[in-house]
Amino acid sequence: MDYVFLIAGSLMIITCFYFIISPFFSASEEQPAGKAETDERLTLEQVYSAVNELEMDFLMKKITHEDFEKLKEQYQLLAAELLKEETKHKKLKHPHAAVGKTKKAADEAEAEILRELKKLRNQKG
Amino acid sequence: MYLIGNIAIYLGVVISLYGIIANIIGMKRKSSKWLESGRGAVLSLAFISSIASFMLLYILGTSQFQYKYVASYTNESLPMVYKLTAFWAGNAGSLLLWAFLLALYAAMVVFSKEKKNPMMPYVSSILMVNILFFFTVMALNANPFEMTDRIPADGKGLNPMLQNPGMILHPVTLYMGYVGLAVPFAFGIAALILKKMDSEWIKLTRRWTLLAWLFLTLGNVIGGWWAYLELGWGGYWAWDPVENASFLPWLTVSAFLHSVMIQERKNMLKTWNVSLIILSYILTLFGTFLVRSGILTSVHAFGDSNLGTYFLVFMAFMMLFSLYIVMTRYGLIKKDSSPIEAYFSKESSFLLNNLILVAAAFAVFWGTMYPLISETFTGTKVNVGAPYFNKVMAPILLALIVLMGICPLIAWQKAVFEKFMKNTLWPLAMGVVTAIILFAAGIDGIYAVVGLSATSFMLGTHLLEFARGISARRKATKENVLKAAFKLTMKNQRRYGGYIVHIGIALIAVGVIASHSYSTEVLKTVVAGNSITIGEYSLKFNELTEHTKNGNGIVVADIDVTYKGKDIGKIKPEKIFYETWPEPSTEVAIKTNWSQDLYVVLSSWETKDKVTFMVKVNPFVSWIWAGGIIMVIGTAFALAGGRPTSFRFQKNKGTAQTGR
Repeated sequence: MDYVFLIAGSLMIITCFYFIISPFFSASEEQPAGKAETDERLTLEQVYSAVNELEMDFLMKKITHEDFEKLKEQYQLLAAELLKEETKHKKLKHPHAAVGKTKKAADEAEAEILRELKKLRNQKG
Repeated sequence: MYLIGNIAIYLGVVISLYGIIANIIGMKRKSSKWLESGRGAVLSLAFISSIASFMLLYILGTSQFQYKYVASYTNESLPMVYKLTAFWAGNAGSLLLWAFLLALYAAMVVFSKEKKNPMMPYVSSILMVNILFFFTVMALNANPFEMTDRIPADGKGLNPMLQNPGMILHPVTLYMGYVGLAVPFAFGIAALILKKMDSEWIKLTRRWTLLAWLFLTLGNVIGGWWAYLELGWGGYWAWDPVENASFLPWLTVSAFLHSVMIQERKNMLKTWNVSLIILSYILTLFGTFLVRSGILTSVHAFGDSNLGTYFLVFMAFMMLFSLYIVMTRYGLIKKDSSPIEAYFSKESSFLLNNLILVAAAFAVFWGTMYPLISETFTGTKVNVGAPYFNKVMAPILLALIVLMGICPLIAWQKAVFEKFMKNTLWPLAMGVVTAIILFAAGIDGIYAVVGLSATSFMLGTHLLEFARGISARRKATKENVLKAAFKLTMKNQRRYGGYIVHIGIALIAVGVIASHSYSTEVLKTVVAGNSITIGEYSLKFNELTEHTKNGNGIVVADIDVTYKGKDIGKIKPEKIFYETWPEPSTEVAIKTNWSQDLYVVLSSWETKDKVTFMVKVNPFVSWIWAGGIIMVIGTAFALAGGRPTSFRFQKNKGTAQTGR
């Protein structure tokens, strides 16, 4: 019986040893991620979500109509800016397809927000 | 078995030490191979701690009394479930359980989808420092696989107080909560070391913190339930030092869970948040120190001064290390943090809530430690009992309940005082109506009435929040009530999960206030055939019988109970005389309905026809357990969903910071 425990104990040590040394025998040395900064840029989804919550606050009578309109306008402007940026990126990638889109960005923002709000309300979670 | 168990313990020390070194080398040389090897060390630790835990369960289950731990906490006749749960009955087993959970959590963290995150080697190293500590203490002082000099014929058996279903779950849930807090602590420190002042660490550990808080809640509620059933004094919370030790981190983590929302949304309170998580983690070590050291008298303490010293040294080390990291990064945190913009705002109400929770933690800490402090300075140990805690904590918890009723009514964006006052009207009316009804019903005790009215106000706020939310959604989407309610809660699980938790707290508050203020008690000696009357209950004592079960002598009193003149059956309080334990244990008999508990204890007897009973009627105690269950459901609901909070406009920062 002692032999069984001896073998089991040795297997335990070998397994741990394997977990620890196996990376040194892997093919290539991957560069660790380093001190990469996290992406703290604002996304359109976040703006839509903020507008959604703002609208809920207004409908729940927690903020005044004036504040609601003012904040909503600010969010719309922000969304327009983000849409513009997005279009610029697309234009750089596909110059022909993006022609004319930039000037429409501001007009599209409000329609886009409304669409996204509807989507947000209907989605789960 | 002895060999495998000991190999696991010593290997634990070596591997955790290696893992820390591998991570340090990996970070210095920027070598993924070394970092990968460090990850392998974590996996090995999870592997060996699982084997050691399985071995301990096996030797406990098969009653191998050649092991000191098995002989000290079990005996042949102990039911299998208690043989297995003796795992955490003593110091050595508890330390192994802690190391096992910590290694498992560490493996889950380092092999998560964030495994390439630059913070991970630091997080892994901090967790391994903890694991190293536990394995070292086991190797040096409390080895669960230590052998006896002579194999005893039978073990000493398990403390009868621990032979209760509550004790199967209470320690494990508390440990899971304690251990869980090591994860956000490690991330917080890692973020500071890397000078990452954003909210990433908070977002990555939100679920870990919530999970730890859920287990702490569960552990505290089950602990109260166990005390109520097993200790036989009629209460559920005695402000015992060890109870306080598990309540302290619960208070600080509750504060943390609220204040992180401010950092996520408004980029504020960064120093506060990191300090809170450090404090919570240190308090988990402090709690364990209290349990292990035996420096304070408690029904829960294991009492081993040696282990206490280990914990004290480790706690001091971790505290100094954390303080050093925070102090050296303080300037950076301050520079990157936004100040509070308005006195009347969501963030200031959350800050106030935090201050109250921390004040509560301080009051509990002071009362718990006062006997030691007084002994150090005056030479006499002044014991601080329940009256101090009740007196100090009652106004603090009342303020907290009132604030819980106010906070949800304040908007995140552009809070307007007039709107808030308008929204407060209905909940306030609910509180006032409650007070009038209570006075009209002849309920006395001004403090209790104020407490119950404040709770009603708080409950009213939350019900109104649900109602207004549903109505707002219906206005926007034209959905029916049920669909709107479902979608509303599912779309913001974090907020509504929190509201469910608050509703659970309201139920607990009703239970605590009512049972403290309106409990009645009778201690009476009766002869067979005579009755005891208490409130609307009448108890007729029939006989005292004796039988044996699993080698233990059991004395049972047979009592017929009537409520409002109606027969509601029998009640049978017991005293159990354990074969292996010097003192008998009291088995309380309880009859519960929605509003009160009839609580009967068989105190003593002169003959089998002349018996003394302690009978209590405790109002609304079942609400405490129901509230605890609702709190757990609410937390699980918030845990299951809950996307990160969205950013908000800031006057001083524009929109640069986001809450993603």
